[in-house]
Amino acid sequence: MSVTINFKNTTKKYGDVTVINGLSFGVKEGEFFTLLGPSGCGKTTILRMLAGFNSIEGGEVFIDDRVINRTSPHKRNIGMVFQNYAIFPHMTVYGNVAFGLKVKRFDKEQIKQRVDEILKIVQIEKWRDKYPKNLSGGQQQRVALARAIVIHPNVLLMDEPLSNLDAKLRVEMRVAIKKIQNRIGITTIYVTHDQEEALAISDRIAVMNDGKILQIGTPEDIYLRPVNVFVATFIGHSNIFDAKLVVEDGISNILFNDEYRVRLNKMYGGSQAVKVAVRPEDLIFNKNGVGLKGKVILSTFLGQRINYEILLDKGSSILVTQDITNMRKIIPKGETVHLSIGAEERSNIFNETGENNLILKDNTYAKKS
Amino acid sequence: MLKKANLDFWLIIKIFMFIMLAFFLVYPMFNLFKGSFFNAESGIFSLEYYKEFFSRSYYFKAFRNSMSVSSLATILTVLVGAPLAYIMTRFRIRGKRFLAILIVISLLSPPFIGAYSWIMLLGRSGAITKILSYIGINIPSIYGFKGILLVFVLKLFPYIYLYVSGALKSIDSSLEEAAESLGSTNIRKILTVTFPLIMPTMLGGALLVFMTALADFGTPMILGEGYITMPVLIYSEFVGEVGGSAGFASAISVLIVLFIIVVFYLQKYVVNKRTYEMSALRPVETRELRGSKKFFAYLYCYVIVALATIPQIMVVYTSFLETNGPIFTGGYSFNSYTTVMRRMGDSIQNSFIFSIIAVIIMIIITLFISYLSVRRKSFSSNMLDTMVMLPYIIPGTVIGITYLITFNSKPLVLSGTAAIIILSLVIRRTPTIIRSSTAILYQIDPSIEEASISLGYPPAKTFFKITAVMMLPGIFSGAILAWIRAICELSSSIILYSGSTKTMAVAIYVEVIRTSFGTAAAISTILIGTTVVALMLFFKLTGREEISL
Repeated sequence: MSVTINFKNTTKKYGDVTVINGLSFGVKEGEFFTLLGPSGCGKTTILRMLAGFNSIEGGEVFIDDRVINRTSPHKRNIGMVFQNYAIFPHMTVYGNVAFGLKVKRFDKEQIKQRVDEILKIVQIEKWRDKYPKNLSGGQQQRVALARAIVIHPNVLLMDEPLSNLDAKLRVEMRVAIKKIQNRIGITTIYVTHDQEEALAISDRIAVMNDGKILQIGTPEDIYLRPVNVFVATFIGHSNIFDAKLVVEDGISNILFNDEYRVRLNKMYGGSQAVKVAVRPEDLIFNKNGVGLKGKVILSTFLGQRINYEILLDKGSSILVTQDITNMRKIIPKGETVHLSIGAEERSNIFNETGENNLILKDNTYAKKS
Repeated sequence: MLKKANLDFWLIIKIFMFIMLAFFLVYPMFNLFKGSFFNAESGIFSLEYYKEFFSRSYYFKAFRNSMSVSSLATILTVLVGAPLAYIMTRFRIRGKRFLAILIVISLLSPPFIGAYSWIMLLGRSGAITKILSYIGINIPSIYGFKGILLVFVLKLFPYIYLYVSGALKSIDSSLEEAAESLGSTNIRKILTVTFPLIMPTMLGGALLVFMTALADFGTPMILGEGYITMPVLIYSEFVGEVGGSAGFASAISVLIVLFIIVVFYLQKYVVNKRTYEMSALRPVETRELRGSKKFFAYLYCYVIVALATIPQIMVVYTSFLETNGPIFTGGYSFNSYTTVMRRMGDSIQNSFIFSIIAVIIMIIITLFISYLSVRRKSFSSNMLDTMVMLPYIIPGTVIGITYLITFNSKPLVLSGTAAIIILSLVIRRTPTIIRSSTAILYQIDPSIEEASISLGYPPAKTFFKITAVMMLPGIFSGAILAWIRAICELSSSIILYSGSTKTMAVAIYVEVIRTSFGTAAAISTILIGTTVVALMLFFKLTGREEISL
């Protein structure tokens, strides 16, 4: 029942302005696929091209092996959940959810059965006969979701569905969405600018910027091995250091500056200037005075962990996270510390421009851009 | 961004609207324009009608009369209406809600009722005139300039009142408090903060008053007695049995329309430069007045509203008097009503049927045009919107003669039919609801429609099932006001009616001219009653206590 989706060389233009130029990617059957990127990167445009609300100026969009470029939006059988829910205010919850079934000429009994079933799945059966204005944001979101999936669409599209909810409800709803999607196994494309949400909910993520896809991968891939500095800093936080890769006698070393060097176990190319990305949790306070020297300028206690902002002697300021279980005392402001890299294999080494991850061999998306 | 499927339905609607407007607006206006140059007898195009207008002082005097009475009325309505609005919004006045409703009723009741009520009070054999002459006081004549001015001011100050009190309510209290905390005195605060903020709105209201006064036909016709204004001139030149000339009437119509367009854009130019978007989070609270200030505030509000309400009360009262032609014989009866039912039942029926059909057509046009101009923005959609708005500034008399000239001959002969009256009502009153409808549509997120489309409803079906249904409640309140205006319409209907298509307003006018004041009062009372019921419906539906225009 689930379908695949393929964009082949797809182009979107507004007048003379090309916002998406020859984009290609595929979504697998039943996959939860997320388009992640800063606002204005073109992720919503892609979603709306698939839904049929934006025209397609070049290339093809496939659902399975069918080209849908010219199919009217109302014939695409796509379920869509909108950022502002787009609930029909003049219909009850039941009316909203049944709306899509009515036009498909199901008989009354069947409609009732399917609506009641879906209301149970999204847990809003209690509000069946309420009008939307009496529902909370989370409940409205569930109505929107129920309305989209009750028609058994080929594809479920979600455009920043959680961005209007408060932080706690957002976490709750993303778990609910993930579970429901797992249960009905529908191919889903989800758009968000919230990297944490993307990591939590997706089977695979496409990280976008400026109308291009920079990297497609599982949440782990993208977090652990970002293809370039943009992805490294957009997904989670990365401290970026300017350093030198020095190869001597078949041994690679990263020279951060005069005082700190890290020996690498593998070869990643010849001597060159590089950028090294290290996650805040991979930096440790070194008690032996080895590492990058700096001063604590701010510490933020967050309960489970503590964030330190540290001004290095060599100018830049960086972020270090310490897990509360590894902590003896909070390091006071103004204290001089030494930072070394805890897990070399988790750090990433990019070329000087930051466009290529030297650790990744197959760097398709980075090369394209 | 347009999808092909969407385009089909809306393209058809757009083309249909263009054809309709071309036929019922552009073509008639063109005809009027052409007619103003064309002498049907000699078959020659020339400027003779225009020359005639400017060369004969009798005609030019009509223009001067119109100007002076309209401008003076505008100034006086501002002087009367603005202080009233200020007192009613800023101070605690008991019975305020009741006063506000009376003001709206007097605004929306048929315009010419004021004229003949005042004749019944202050005319040659008016009630007050008689009493005063009995004790030896002779009051100045109500006929002519002074009477028209009186009726205009009492009839039209509610526009200023409604505009200004709307603007005053949109001023957040923090603005005036800021002025006070910076050390401004009360008067200084009003002059430097409050007044400049409401100025654009007040100018908008003043323009409306000016255009309404300029276009009003009934009042100067009934009260003028030789004091000729432009609409009266157009009417009498057009229908005049002696020397009536459609061409000449057309030329005057073209001149007055051009003049109004100039005034309209001048006002827009002046006001647009200093319009402020305001919405009050916390409107200024009303204060309690004390002592003599309180006395004069109450006196002012109640006297003004009483004066504005007198015509309505007078009419209702007279409708129950026993009459014999123009003579009131003393005593009370329902005779006027039975006469009306016997002789003028048709016109009551006509009024209801015409105005209801007209309002339904207006709603449909409004739905389509506002959708096109909001959701399918393009040069042509914009043009449709502008075209539909145009009749807003054209006097009813002009619309009337334009329609009669145009639809009196092939390709479409409509003169004397109900259709021509309904069409003129539609073309004249659609502009009054289209703006509010556009505003409503802007508040509906397009994703609601997209949701419906993605659920399998084609664009046309989505429009009728979702968009239109969501817009209707908002449009409906505007439609009630448009309906009230339509059922009271006189200036175009007086030209377009025939024996079988007489409406209530026309019947009142005819009765007044015949000086059968009793029957005129009875029909007027029915009309006022209808208006009040419709207004109550409006208040109930919108949950508001006031009307904003």
